[in-house]
Amino acid sequence: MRRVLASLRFAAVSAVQNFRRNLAVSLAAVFTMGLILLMVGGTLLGRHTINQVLETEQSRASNMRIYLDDGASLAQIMDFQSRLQHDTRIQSVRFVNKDQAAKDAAQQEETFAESLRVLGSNPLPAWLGVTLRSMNDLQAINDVAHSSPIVQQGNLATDYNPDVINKLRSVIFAISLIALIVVIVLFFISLVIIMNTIRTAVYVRRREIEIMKLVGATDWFVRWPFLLEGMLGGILAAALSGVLVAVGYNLAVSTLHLKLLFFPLHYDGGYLSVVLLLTGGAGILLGALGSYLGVRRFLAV
Amino acid sequence: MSVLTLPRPALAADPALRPVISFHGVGKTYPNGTVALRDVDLAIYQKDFVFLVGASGAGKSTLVRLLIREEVASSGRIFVDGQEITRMPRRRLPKLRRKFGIVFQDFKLLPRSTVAQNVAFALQVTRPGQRHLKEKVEEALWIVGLEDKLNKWPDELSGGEQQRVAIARALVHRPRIFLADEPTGNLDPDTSWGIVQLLLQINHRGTTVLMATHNREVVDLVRRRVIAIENGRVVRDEMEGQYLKEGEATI
Repeated sequence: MRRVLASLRFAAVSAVQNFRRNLAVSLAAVFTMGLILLMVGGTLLGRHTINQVLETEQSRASNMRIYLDDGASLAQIMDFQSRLQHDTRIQSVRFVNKDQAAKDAAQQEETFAESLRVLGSNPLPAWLGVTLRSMNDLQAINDVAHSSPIVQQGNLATDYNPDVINKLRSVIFAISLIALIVVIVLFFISLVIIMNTIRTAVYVRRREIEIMKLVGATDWFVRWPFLLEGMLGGILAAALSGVLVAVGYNLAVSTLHLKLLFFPLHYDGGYLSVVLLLTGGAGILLGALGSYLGVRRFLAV
Repeated sequence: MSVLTLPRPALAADPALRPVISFHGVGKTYPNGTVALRDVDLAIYQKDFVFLVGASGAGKSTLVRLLIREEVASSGRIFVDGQEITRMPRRRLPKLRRKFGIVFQDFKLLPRSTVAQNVAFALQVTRPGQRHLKEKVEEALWIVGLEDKLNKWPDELSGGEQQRVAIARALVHRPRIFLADEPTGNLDPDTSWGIVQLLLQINHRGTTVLMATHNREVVDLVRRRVIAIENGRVVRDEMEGQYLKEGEATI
């Protein structure tokens, strides 16, 4: 216990000493890493905000109308409706009869009321408005509708349009992928920066390390001060980026709210704390990993 | 004064004692193809004081580096204190190196640490939390005669004093074997003599001493065991040897 404490104290003192002796290099590394973590945090929050908007779109897109055949009896319709309602993939089903459909149409377009009067009959079908829990099930529910005898035939069966849905889905996928790539690239850049900072620190202390190895210090004993130094840099960088991310996110959301009144985005404090924890953890991990790699070459004596 | 020439490995030391250091057919070829040592056999016993002599590049430093496993032998086997070190796993090297006290031509002191801190460093990094650290440091510095320079900086000391600090640092953990690689290489004759006296004193206390050198005056004056290396081979191993073989021409 006594030895462990003494080792820790030695490592901590050397780490702080290292950091201060190479203050310029250390600070440069902290700022660069802070910037990178800031970009990571910004990317994550940006992706989250875009997702918020897309989710609203998605819930809009996961509605589907199933057009019913004019010959279907009310009993058949009720039966079909209740079957759909019991499907776990479906959130709700709403029935709109022919009259209501005509009224809705007339309301949306005035000339349509005129056409109806000229026609003398109502050509619009009754329909079931289905809201799905996930838009991934649209295809399956579309198939269910197609197989029912009381649903109109062929293209008239539903308003399901896979093209729009697929486009939306690929946009969401692309944004997530880009965010992931950006985060990974930034991760490696900061790893290289930390590695080089620690190399400088190791180079400055190469004599000390040489003596440590000569008198029989263990690899871990030599390594710890540098790991701590790297972690210290990581923590400072994370704190720096954390403050900027938190302030920036707050500012961005309120500005966007003013400019785009109807945009479905809101300040998500829970997600912000996840991002802050994540960048903090990433800072410490990057610092430790970069130092480990930076010291490795010099330890091979 | 008779010079006793012995077959190698030296058999004169008490055969009942196990050698502290032994080389069995050791060769070392560096990756660039340079052959530094060929088929070296030797045995060094507890309390031996050995001069390792030879021209620059003869293989003295390689021999020292093999002992502390800074380099790995290409062939043959090396035993230190009964343990074979040629195939020793890396994680056991710290323990091996703690058996040695090592000094070099260039002292290798930390310029930003005081004399006492330099000596204490060796204990702090190998035995963190060591008790009576101050007393041990003071004792080591007393042995080398620098007990009044505890708080000086290395650059305030003369070359000889700096080497004494290095010796104190190498002694403070009470090693079994003392290795000195050209310890007087940077020092004037008088100072060199002082350092050698100190090493003899350390040997007198029971520590095995191996000193690689090309300081001819010292070797000829002290008259202890001499192992001569030429082109990577042991060419001479005498119990009371001289720097040059008797009758060999002076350059």
